[in-house]
Amino acid sequence: MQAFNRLNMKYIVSIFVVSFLLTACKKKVDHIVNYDNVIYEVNTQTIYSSNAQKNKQKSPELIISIMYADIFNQGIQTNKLLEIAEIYLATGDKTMFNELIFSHFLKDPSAIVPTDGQMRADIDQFVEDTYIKFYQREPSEYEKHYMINLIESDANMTVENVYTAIILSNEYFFY
Amino acid sequence: MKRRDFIKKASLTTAGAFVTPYILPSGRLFAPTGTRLANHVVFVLFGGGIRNQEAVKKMYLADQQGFSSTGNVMNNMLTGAAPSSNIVYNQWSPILGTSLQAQGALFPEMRYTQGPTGHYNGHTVAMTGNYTETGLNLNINPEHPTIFEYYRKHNSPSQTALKAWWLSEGLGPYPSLNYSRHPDYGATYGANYMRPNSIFGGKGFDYLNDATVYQPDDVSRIETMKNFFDVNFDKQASDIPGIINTRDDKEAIKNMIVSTLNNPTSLDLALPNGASPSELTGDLVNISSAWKVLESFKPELTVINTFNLDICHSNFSSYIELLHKADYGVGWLWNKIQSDPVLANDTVLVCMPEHGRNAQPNSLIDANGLAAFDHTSDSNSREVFSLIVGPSGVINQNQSYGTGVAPVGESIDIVPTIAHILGFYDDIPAGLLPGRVLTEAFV
Repeated sequence: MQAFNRLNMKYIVSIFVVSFLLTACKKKVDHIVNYDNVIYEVNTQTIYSSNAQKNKQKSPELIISIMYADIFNQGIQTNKLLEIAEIYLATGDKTMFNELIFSHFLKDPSAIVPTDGQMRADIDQFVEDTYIKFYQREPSEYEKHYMINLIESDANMTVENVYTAIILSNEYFFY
Repeated sequence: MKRRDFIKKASLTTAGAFVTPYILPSGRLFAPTGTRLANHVVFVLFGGGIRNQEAVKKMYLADQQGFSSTGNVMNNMLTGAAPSSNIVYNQWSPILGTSLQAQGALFPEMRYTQGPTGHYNGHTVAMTGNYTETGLNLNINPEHPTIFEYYRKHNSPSQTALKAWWLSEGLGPYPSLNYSRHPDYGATYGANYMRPNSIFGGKGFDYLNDATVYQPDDVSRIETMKNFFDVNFDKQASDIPGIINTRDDKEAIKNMIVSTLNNPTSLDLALPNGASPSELTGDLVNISSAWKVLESFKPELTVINTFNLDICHSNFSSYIELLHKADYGVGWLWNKIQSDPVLANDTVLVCMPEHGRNAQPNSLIDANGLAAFDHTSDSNSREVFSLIVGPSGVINQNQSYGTGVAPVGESIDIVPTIAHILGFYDDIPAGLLPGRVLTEAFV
């Protein structure tokens, strides 16, 4: 038994020594990889722990830019903003204009908006995502409870209904 | 029915008409005190700067060096034969069988007595009834209340903004004229505003044609949620510029815009039969759209402008052409108004340029050898005219008031006159309106 142990120990030590020799003298190789067209995705993050932290009102131009960014997850192009600004000026009721242009954004094929089916599949997650997307904060337990109930109890409630109510709300005008 | 019963019932009906309020086709209820002369006013700020020489004086080219042709290029608004020689414009046959001048009261020599003769100033004076010395006002609401605010604050019963409209041919500072920054008035009493050349033009189509008009159920859902969100937030978005319509009015306006964009032929165009749409001007688009608004909402107070004539700074021939077309547009609009069961015989049309133009030309000569004119506050640029047209029982027909040596009326008189027609002039606090009612116009 002792002889076996001694042999075993010798074998283990040999393996260790050989392994050390094979790895310790490895030549260092630097790989330089150039990435082209890197797309960084930004995760939506909560900024506010409560809506009480919002105390500055957004300008009308900022509202349009933010609405666009909220729907397309990217900044609005300058020429597009200028064109929209012209129609904005050409309308007397700016809240009505915001509704009109927002519903246009929502119908764009490239809009990043859940379908009504996706909303229904996980209402809890939809409510949470919606608050973070538009208000940059988590909903309170009460808000979550109310919204989930509201959506669950009304089979005709659409994503557009919810989003439109949000962009018309007072909180959306503040940061 | 026996004769005696008929007389009895007829007498009761007649007596009832005197003691009960009238319910007009427009749906407005008002006591028969006679305070209102008509239930609708359309004020055309016939703008861009028009000289009396080419308008009411019908001089055509006679004020140009080397030309003597005279004639009336405004065949719909004014009475008189069109020019027959040296024709520099495409002559459209008048749409009206009887000129507006013959259907109303003309004030051929009104004066714009104070302040610079700038377009925005002129518009501000005409719409607030107060002269302003300010030369430039970029996107700032006027200091004095506008006619819209007087109407919405003092008219009884009060009406929503759906009943008051301002439509401008261009943008610039003009969107700011639907309400003032006066502390006692402001956006709460403002009018709806639209620039049709943008809304119904290419950009409007690109961005608004697929916009959603919510059904009542959707409106209810949205309002319920918005109220919930607002209850959970302690601040009001109070600095939103512009007027805010009621929810019902908002949906009605959205519906008008979106349905027009999706069915462009529903927008009647102020063009003669057979004329190409390429002959449409910005002024005519504005006038056509004004009819869409009038037809859709039967507003009680509508103000629109024309502006293309400002080309007179550089091209006199084009000025004549555009003056002729804008005149056609006004005639076309009057025809439309008279075809509407609610507006016909219950609308007063008021037309006035915001200011005139100089007596002396500048140095620019167009392809026809005609000199251009600016407007730099000389006495000629302070000469304007006004036309007040309406039902024969309300407006004196085919009458003219004032001459060059004895002018009658000022630019600041239009606001009191409109307030008088709509019956709320006496309710406006003293000291706000320095002008007077042009009482000469009324029967």
